[in-house]
Amino acid sequence: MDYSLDFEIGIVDFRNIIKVIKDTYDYDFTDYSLISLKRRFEQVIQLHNLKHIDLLIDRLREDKLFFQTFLQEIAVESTEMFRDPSLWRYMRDELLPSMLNESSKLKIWIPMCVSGDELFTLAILLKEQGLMNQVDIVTTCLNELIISHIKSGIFKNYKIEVSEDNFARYQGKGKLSDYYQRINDQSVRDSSLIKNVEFIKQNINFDNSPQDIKLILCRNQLIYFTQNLHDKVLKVFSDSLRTGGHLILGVKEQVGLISSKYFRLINETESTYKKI
Amino acid sequence: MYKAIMIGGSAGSFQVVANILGVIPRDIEIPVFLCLHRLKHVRSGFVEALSLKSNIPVVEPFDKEPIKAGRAYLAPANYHMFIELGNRFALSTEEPVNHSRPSIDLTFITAAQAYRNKLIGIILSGANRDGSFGLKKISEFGGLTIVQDPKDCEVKTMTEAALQLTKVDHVFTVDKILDYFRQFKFTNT
Amino acid sequence: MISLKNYKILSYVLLVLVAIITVAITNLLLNLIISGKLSEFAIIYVIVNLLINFTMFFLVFRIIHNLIEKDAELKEALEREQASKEIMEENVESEEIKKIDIEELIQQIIPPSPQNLGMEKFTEKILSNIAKISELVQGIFYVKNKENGEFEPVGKFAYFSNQPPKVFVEGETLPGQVAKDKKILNINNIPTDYFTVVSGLGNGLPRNLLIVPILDKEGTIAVFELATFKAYDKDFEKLFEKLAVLLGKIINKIK
Repeated sequence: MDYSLDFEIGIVDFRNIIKVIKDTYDYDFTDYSLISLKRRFEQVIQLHNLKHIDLLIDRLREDKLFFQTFLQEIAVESTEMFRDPSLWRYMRDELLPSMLNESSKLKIWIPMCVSGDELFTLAILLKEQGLMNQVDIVTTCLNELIISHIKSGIFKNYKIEVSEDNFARYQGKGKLSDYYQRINDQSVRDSSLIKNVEFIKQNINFDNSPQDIKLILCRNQLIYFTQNLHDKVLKVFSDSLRTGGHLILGVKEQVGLISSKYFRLINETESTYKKI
Repeated sequence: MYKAIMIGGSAGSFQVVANILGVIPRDIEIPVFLCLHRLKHVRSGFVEALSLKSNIPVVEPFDKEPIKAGRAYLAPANYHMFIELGNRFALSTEEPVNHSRPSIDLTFITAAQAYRNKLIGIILSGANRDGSFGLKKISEFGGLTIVQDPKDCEVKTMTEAALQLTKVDHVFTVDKILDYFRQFKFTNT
Repeated sequence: MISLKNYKILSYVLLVLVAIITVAITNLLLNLIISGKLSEFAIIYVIVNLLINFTMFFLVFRIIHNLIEKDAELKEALEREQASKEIMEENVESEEIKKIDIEELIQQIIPPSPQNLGMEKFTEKILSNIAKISELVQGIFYVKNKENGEFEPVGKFAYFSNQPPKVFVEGETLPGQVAKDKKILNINNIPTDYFTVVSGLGNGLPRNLLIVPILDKEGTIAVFELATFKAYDKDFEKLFEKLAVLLGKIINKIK
């Protein structure tokens, strides 16, 4: 952990940072969860040693490449691969087979992908089940930097132990290490797993979302939005799904009262919903 | 006077927390936050075990759930639990802090920022330093700080680390902590 | 509007200028004294004057800095209050909608295909669905046995007592009274021992009880009992009334 818990920015400065980003790049972070986003800013500020907020604001305004790096760094990565192994078992043993019963080809969308952990997890699942030809995966990401990071397959070392443990609980065929290699002190995942994945740079207002989707896997990303934005995005998801399509959220997420118009809970333990 | 109670603990704290929940006044008018280090894969059982003898409902909050008085909220496994302004929970899947997720430091810090001096922070027995910085923050904002007496702890590391970093208001044995909660309604006006 | 940072820089610059000027003037005066062009008293007077000016300027400088910082703190506190309010207001909006959408909530409570579930599972699902949309602590669903007229506990929610809930007939005990009166009963803040004696919910902690009769053409055919820490309000009473009407039509069809 290369930042201190002590450094705190005030809400006034927080709002000023959001304002300069909105004015310069038309990215609106107003509807992001305040405490979570503020913490992300605090960490990135320390990473770049820009503790005088005016310095950060000027740099954001003037340095476009820095802004893209900033975007990548404030996005929160998923924690590990095969997080919540019981969900992946549920997908492998129940959900995907029942979906493939109804149609021979499926399109799965993974929105707001940051580290690629969920993407590679899904790819490994599909490969082991021999389903790679029947399932198309599309993933949307915030910017090009994130896309190239995911394509590189680089996998943070501190996630390895817990991911291998998860994979064992998932009862995969073999070992997780079959799917990555150590190259120069880094762990790199097998990029052939994602060679057919479609990568799209998502517009901030979600207006270029994929359509005709059968399953959306969006776990622990909506938690960084306010209720308002959460509901807006769920509406986008609902529009993008075919009727009877499925949505999977994180274990401690709910669609909420307003969006329960569009989604019916079909598996409480695995936070799986069906489009009404 | 105080608007929330924040309890953090790890190894050796389960029984203490269960006992606290058993003596806490049933109609307590503030929320109690529990951040206990826990096994990542065990999703159910922990809340039920704590609820057994608890005087108040024990729940794991969902993301964005409103904070209600008279309940004990337990940080869910493999998430950080933040206290958001406007009386809400915000969950996060950021990197572990002090090798822990949920991290006691993060919950304590966000609670201190939200409740300022109207917060009580308690650190119990545990095996790492998580929470000592958070308790310092609560103290800096003027909240009340209590640490379980290290001599009384199953594992001393957490409480000793907390005491090293902050001059706390009270160092209590478990019995004194329980007395404090029994009297809570009468002293918290 | 000069920013906080610029105010500070400006005041430091002025401070340094004043210091330089003071030193320069003192220097000049010393030269004049040495060359005898000024009397000592005049000199002392001027030096003391300069020192007083310098001190006063320094004090004013400090006061301005404090004010600027206090102002920033105040602005920060106001922003925090504002943000708090905005986030809390999001909550209020969803509460409002909860009140209005009784029909939707009823749809969420009644499970699909009741005939396939059987009475026990059906009533338990109802109670657990009620728990999802409200803060239900414990619940019991009694159904009347047509042969002996006794109301038997069929579905339970979070019922942990050692003794099973008691069977009753119309007129007996609190739920029996509700069956007889055919009206919802909403009791709040019951003293705990009174509560344990008259309700079927055993050593309960909650202080609020809502008992709802379910009727068909012949009379009361079922009763459900809900215990909560927080009393159900009028909107919920309306909801349960409507629910009871629907259940009155469905229950007879379930085995």
